[in-house]
Amino acid sequence: MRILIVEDEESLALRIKNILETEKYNVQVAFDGETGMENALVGGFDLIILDILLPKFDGIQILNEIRKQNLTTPVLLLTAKVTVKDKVEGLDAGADDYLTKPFAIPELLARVRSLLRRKSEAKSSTISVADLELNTTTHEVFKNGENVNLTAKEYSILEFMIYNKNRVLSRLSIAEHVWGDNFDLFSMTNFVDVHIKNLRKKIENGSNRHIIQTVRGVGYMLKEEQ
Amino acid sequence: MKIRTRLTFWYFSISFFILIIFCAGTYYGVKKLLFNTLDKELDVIASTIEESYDIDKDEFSEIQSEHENTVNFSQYYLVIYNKNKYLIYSSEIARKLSFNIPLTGNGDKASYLIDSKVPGRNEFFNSHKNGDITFRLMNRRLINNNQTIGWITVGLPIGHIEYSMEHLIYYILIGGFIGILLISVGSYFVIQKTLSPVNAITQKANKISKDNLDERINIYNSEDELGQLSIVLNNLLDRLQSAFESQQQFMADAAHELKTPLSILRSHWEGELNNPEIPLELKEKFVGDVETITRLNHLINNLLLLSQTESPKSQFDFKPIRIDEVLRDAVSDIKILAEIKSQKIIIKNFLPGIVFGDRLRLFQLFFNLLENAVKYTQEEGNITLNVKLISDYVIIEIGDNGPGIPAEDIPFIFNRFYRVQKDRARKTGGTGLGLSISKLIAELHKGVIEVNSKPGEGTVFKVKLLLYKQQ
Repeated sequence: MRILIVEDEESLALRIKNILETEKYNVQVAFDGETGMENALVGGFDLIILDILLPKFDGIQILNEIRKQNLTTPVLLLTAKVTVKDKVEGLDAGADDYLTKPFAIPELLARVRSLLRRKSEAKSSTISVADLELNTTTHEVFKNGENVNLTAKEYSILEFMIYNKNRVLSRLSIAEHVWGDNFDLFSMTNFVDVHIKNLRKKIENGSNRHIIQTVRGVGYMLKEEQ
Repeated sequence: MKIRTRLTFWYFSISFFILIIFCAGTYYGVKKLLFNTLDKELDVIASTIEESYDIDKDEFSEIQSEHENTVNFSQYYLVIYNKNKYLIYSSEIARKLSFNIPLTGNGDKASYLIDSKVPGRNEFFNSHKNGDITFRLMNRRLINNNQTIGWITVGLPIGHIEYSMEHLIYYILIGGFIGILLISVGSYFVIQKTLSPVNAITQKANKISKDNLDERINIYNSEDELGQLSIVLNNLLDRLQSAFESQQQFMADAAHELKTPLSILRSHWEGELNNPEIPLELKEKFVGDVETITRLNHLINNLLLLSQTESPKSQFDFKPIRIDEVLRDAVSDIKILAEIKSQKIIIKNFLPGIVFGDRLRLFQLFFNLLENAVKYTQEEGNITLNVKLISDYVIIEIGDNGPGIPAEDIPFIFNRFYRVQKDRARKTGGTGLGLSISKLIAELHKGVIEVNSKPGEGTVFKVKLLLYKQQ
């Protein structure tokens, strides 16, 4: 899987590159709009992560150009802007998803996986871990083929954890995924504990005991035995 | 006093003054003209008699032969004395009336004679008799070859002139009154029309606020003073807009510049959470740092929202939404917090309603209020929720039986960074912006937020939102 990152903040770009590479992705980085545009138009990428504010060409211009060339590569926009208008502008220009800075790394990974999966396994809409199977369109969960009834928030947490399996997730990044970054998330971290507790009751029995592990003082991790 | 009234008053006063002068001028002009004509006639009579003097006979031929006279004297008041001051002629009218002029009979020496001081000069005066007939009289010393040859007093009744002048006054008064009336009404409308752009300017300028700073005042006529005023105001708006925009740009840039390093920090710490070489205690610290970074980001977002650098509505996504669903979501989250403190959530009424609003922001509003209720109420306390529909509004009351808010703090609780319990602030967390954000959210939905609190009994927050009506 090849991913192009267009981000002028070198330190951030390299950090994302580093993390994506540990996840076994092939990553290329462009630090300005012009190189970004060239790389994107050459093609061959499975995903483009695009910052909006860039020197030379901005992200929206690059996006417009990509779509004009009939390239269907999924695009994830990154921006520090917060207005609805900006989001609408980005999505109208043909972006597939949108992430506001400063974003959580697990959130970025979840979005990246979701976008890549949409591209590669367009026919199937299920993801699975251990004996669990999730339908990402109907939000149904099956355990050994049996329907497990999850609330919307429990589903959202589980899906997020599967996209970040074997990674430590802070309670904050889980809360942010579920409730968005509009508000004070500190009381939300309490909710995360309660929802995880309920989620465990529903999915942890039999073979996949302790699929969700507690990392003391840090958060949680969904562990899939190799 | 309004300018319109003041201008009308001045217009009226000045035209009234001018009209008075004009009327008086007309009156005295006409009077003078009439008397001049009369005086000329009297002068002609006197001259005719003077010129008919026969030096040899020492007599005036005009008055000797009544029937061959060039002028008929009978309509005149006419008295003539010879050079010895004897009355030699008096007309019939003169004999009937006596204006202190002795008319004892022909040949009698007059004991009283009205003399003109300068020979040949006419002297005019008005004389009255019986009050109803007034005569204009003229005296002249008659001269022939520098010799005084006699005296004459000639006169005509002026009743018709007085009659005319009385009528003239009457017409002038009526005409003047109508004129003033027309001027007043006319000037009122002319001023109204002249000043109407002022109203347009006032209304337009009044409507322009930070949300529509790009609008300008229409200029009807760039030549006149009001057009100039509009241009000046528009220039002022240009400068305000550019100052405002550069301020906005500065805030947006500052926020962006703050967020980029926060992203870098956050990605670093979060990345390290999966590094097996780093001990757990250190990771715990990283999580704390990430929380601080998120808190900073949250603060930046709130400040941006409250400083309204971008019109806050641009950060909102308005749609018709079920307000009861939003509340149900908020309550289901809050239940978890309440259970931790063994508090009960009591729902009194829960009526469904549709509101035109931003789902996330309204959730934020109710979540804030519910969270505050849980946070500031003691363990095993009660949180109440009451959703009512009253005419076109949905009213959401969120109450608690906590310690309440001291009366002196109530006016300030919606202020930014205001905290009721200053010392406990840090422990309970939050940025101190929660209630001001809540208020802003309510206001951007054209709603109202109110608080009612009694120390020792509890607090009730009341949110009133307009129900959405489908067209």
